[in-house]
Amino acid sequence: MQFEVLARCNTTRARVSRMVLAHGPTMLPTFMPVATQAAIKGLTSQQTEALGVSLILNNTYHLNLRPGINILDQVGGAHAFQGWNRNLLTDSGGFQLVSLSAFTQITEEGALFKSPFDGRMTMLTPEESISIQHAIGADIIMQLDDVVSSLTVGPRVEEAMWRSVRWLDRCIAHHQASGKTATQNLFAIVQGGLDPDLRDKCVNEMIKRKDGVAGFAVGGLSGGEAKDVFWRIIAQCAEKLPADRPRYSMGVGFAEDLLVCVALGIDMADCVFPTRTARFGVALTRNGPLNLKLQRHSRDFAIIEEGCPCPTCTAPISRALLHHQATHETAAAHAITQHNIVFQARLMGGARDAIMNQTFPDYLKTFFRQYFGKQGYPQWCVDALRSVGVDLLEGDSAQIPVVEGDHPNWEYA
Amino acid sequence: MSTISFTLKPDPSSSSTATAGRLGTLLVTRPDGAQLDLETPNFLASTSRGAVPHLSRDHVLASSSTRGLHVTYDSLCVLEQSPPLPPLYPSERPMHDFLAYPPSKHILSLSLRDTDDTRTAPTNGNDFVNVWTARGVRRTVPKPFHDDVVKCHVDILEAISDIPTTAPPYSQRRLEKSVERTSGWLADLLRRHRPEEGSTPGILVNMVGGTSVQARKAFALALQETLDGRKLVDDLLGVSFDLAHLRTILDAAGPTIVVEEDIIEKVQTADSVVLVEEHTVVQPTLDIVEASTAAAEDAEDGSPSTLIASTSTRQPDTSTRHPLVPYLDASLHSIPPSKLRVARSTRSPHDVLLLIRDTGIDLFDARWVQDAASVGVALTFVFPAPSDLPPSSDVGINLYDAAYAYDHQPLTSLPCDCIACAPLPPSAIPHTTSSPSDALPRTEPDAAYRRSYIHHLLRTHEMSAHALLAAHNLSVLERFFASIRHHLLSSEFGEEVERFVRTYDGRMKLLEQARSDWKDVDLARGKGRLAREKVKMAEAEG
Repeated sequence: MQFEVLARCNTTRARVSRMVLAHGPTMLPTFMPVATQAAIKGLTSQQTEALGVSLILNNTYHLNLRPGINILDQVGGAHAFQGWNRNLLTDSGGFQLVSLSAFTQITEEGALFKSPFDGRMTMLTPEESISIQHAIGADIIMQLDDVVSSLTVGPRVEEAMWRSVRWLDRCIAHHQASGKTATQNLFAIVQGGLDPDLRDKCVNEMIKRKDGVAGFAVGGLSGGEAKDVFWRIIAQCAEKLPADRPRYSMGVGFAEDLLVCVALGIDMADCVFPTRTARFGVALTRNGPLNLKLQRHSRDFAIIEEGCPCPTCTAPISRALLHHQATHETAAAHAITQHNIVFQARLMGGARDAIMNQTFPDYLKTFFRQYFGKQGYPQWCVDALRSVGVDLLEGDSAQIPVVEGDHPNWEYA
Repeated sequence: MSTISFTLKPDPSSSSTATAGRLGTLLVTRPDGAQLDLETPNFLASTSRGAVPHLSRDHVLASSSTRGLHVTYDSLCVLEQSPPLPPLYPSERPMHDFLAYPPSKHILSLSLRDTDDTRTAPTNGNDFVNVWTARGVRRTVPKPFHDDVVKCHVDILEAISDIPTTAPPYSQRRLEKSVERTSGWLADLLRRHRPEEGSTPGILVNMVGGTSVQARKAFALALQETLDGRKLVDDLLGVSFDLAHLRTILDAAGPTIVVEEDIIEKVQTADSVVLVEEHTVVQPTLDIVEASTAAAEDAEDGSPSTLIASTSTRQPDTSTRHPLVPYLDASLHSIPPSKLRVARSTRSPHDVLLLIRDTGIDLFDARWVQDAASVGVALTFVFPAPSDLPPSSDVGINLYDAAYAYDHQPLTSLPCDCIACAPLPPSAIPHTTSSPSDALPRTEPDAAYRRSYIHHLLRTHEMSAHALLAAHNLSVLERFFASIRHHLLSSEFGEEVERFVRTYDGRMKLLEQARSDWKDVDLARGKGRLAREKVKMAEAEG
């Protein structure tokens, strides 16, 4: 991997960088749409690339089950299988330890999964996870980490953190012995739950392994913890993680989450939210999400968002038509998915431009004003951005209320 | 003002061809002079709620098979809106632009109801029809319906017709009403919106009359009636046939057998009735129906079987003549051949070929190829049929089948320009102006999608499988029609149709298996699966 920081924000900890992998460059900060089972749901690879996406995520656990390594080996990897010609990142399967925890048993050796599909038992060791990711052929591969739910308390959290460090060592060893380090780049994942002390220890340990990894991720979050805790962990980790490696916040997210993470020094994020919510009829805009299923959109001939360059808005397809088709026609799911992916990409692209032009604080204020101006700024966003020198309540925004709690923006009937 | 016309191509051969098929051109000219043509025989892609199933707008644009589109008013949710929405769309071609189908690229045809929906409903009246919508049965009144649709500036409009909504059989009286109402509503439409000099919308009328030859002929004659000095039929672009309705009536009428004319008497006095094998195509000619129905009523067992004989003089080959031809022919009896002939609810390529050969249908629907895509079937048939295929070969492949997990070939080895076989190199939307882009120009064409990938998508309940298959199947259909047009006027056309009908399985057994596979995956991975999984786990533990 080539990784080069091109610009740094003078105020926040944001930076613009270029990451060049085996399947081309990806400008950071970026948002990665999730193609869990070797497809962004509803879209072909060409459609995804046409939206301006250069890096997507596949899931190791799922691809290992279906189609399986044999088939991937036969076709030459997941890129060739799904027709995706650009960069690919694979999650190690660690998150499935939490999401499918009813079916999982974790030991030092690895994780024993019972498949909810067919009851088969699969042992996932760090070495096995890396091997599977080798067969998949992703440009960025993730260590197998011992993930606990962010709401877990007690000694299990510390146990998982230390085990993640030990599993990182096993992943590094297995990866380096494979001879694939030139084309596939291993990332470490910082664990430690919501405990700043454990997080600090984990970051220190993983930085010691810096030469064995190409990047660092912050894992174990976005599991329902309070946003006020979330941003502090991100800030703590991003501050200490080396500046010459990309930093990846896993499972992020909503527009406000992404911008806060970028301000705190994060370069990459992934989340199923924009694509999943699209399939349920919700379109993302700078003025907040639009729940197109609501009656109020049934006669609105306007497009989702003026100025949006996505295939749906440029067709132009009206909110009224989407209202009638959403959740009934797969074509509508595809249309809103395309729009939401472009929304996320524009959000990050705009951030990159602003960081390079040293206008990122204004970009943040403008976005938050437009997105949250009516309902009030979430306290946690105000606090997080203040910690890096941006005051959302400055000037004209002083009279906008600030609301406690996580308060994601939503449109109700 | 857009204009629309249908013109037959002259047949260069001096002798009359052995088939009823003909070549034609459906031409739409836009106000700016741009022209859209569909060479016939050809098809219109079906839509659902205005969308081509599974195809987002960029895929519709990338497809050459969606030039002609058919929209049904009932699925646009219009019938619940007050006032209806599409006519209010602020543009000169409201329906095109509301549905986002550029007038420069698409011919849009519209009818009230989806002919494939044969559910029964309360009976129609003199001034209304009952139509199934997403929210149940709705009453539609012809006058406002016609007025609203004309405001939408579609290119082809099928006038509202009185197709009986109750269960068959239909009495003579009911069919007479159908004839009166349909011709009356058509006359009313033409009185208020007489198409001037071929301006859009071109009007079609559904040829009603059920399976009564008398009624069908009567309706055709009703179209000869004059309105302000012109016959109704003169102002029509063409006529349409609802095949699903005919099949519903025939299915309800019970099993049929075919006998030679000279042994009819013997069969009528027999004590029992013998059924022919299920897959033999029978050709009812209704001149005999009344007599044979009486005979059946006299039969000892009282079973409702109907004796049919073929007395038609035009018999290219009695073993494969399309069973609905006698009804279509009765309707076309007094309709000028220059009128466009549209068939809706075809079910197979066999339907298409036989209807072209036997009745000269010009325009078909594509619902069956799109439905095949919805259940994981990639169509592979070609016309003329390859000589090396065994009889009753499948018309396509069911990609749910485990055999395809390791089949890394493209969908077809023949040239295909659909987005699955020849993916379009993407042109990435830029998201930055002052910082660098990460778009990468293509140096090579993208590889075709593999069967193993589409198999994987189907098994994991991924929607993109159906997008790829929908585009592919429409492309297969497009090549099918192009080949038909190429061979239509040759003396071998009839033979080629015969050979195709023998080579490929017209009952499409493949689709039954695919539908069952689709259902299995949907149960395992579709809506409601978490609840089902919980139940399964509880049962496994308990």
